[in-house]
Amino acid sequence: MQGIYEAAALALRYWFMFAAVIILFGVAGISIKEYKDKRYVMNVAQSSIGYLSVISGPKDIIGENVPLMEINLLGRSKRCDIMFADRSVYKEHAKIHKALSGAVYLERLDKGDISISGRNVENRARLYSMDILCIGNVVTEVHLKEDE
Amino acid sequence: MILERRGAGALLALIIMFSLSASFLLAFKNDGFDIGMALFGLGFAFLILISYNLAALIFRHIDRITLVICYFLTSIGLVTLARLNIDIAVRQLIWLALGTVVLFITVVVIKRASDFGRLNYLLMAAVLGLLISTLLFARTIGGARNWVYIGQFSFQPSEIAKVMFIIVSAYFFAERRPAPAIVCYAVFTALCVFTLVLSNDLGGALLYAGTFLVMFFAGTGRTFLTFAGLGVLSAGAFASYHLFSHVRTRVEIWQNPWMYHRTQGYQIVQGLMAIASGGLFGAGLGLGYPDAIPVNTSDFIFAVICEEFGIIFGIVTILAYLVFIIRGLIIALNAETRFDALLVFGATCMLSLQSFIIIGGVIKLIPLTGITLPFISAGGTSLVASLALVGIIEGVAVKNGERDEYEIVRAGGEVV
Repeated sequence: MQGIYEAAALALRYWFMFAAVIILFGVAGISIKEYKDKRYVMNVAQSSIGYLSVISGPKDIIGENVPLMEINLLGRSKRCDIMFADRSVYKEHAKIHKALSGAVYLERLDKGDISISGRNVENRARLYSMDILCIGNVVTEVHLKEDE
Repeated sequence: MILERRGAGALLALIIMFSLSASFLLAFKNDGFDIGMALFGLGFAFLILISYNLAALIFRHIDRITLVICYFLTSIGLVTLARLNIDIAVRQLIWLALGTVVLFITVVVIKRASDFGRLNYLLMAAVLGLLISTLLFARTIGGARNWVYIGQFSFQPSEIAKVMFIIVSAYFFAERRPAPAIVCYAVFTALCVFTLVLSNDLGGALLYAGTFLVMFFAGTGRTFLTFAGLGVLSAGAFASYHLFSHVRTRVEIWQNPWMYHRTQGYQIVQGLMAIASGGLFGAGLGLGYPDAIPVNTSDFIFAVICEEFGIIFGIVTILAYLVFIIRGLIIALNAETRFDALLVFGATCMLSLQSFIIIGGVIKLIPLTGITLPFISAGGTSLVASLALVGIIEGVAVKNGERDEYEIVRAGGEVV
């Protein structure tokens, strides 16, 4: 019996060491990944001025919240900060930016349809929280940090 | 934008597998199957499973990885203690359950507290009362006079006091306080260290003084004064060397333990021999000779770990402390208020210094001073105090998490 115990104890040394090393690497790996993810998300969260909540439009983005930064180019092009892959949206459709006064404005850049809570926008209009912003067929709800 | 908080379920499962396999192996150590040992392993697995899930359920933003490291170190300690003496291990398991409750309570208190205000003066009186009580009522064990007995129950007042010491220090360094308050705090710290030196608890004195200095530097950023403090500490150590014979003996043993291998240097020599005989991969659980090492359940438990699990395992244990420290520092840097940051910094610093002092002593890096290895050594008060310090760290982590989630939700994101 003692011989079997000794053999088992000698063999299990490697398992104990393996388990400890895996736990250590796991803990260190998760820590690094979590730190990087958190830093990225917090940077975006802290520099954002609010977000657009997509109510209708392309199926894959309905329900998504898109963060708004100080300056945002909206359109269908990949170069845009906020991209809506919908035919009704122009390549560079509009721009949302925060003025020095703290107010947030929407600027129309192309001929495409833009409306805020049912009112058509010709050139420029101020945005407020809970406004319904329509860009082509994409309908979003505006949420601004300073208004909430 | 989704911040995914990573669970540590797989790591927890590995810790459970580690402790279960070790306890079932030990159950076969003597002829037959020791059901008590197997039940001990199952009890530990059940306890950490329940407490981890409960913690994640009650405190959504608790730092799970810190908790997992804490359980990993505790599992190493419990397995080693079970190998040495199952009665001590069972007692330690009961203390772990109690310590977990203390951890939860501390998280709630820290989460709700701002800086404890004038209560800090009461805490200062409590710390001094506890430390002076060791001079009056404590029994001497292992050369240090720091155990107070009340009937069958015994505890170390200096362990409880260190948690309050951290809170008081964070309060005084968090803001610029009036001169009388600072003088009062300086006298308080000097009295703490002096009382510990008088109790022969040199490890405790070094821990308090070291934590004070590091927190002073973190709180004030004054390099010159910190070095001046370090100078005073060194002068104190030098004076102690000349004034107290036991300090002199410790240093001489440290310089050449082999000369005293039959007398005062016996502990260190046995510890070093145990570490060396274990080699890289260890002698195997239950196959070493840890009974030859004095105080093998507390001060010298690291030597036992190295002997039976191997030096690589010992290094992994040290690295686990290091990851714990790094996580603590990240939580401190993320804290919203200076008080919270210093609180976490102090708690992390105290646990890391404590680990360094005892591991350094056992491997002959620094003179040996009797102190427990956090989470691993036997000792109920020490384990509960260490878990209370983890509670402080977790309390601030919960605060940070709630604030971060608020920011993320305001930017349209979510935390899952």
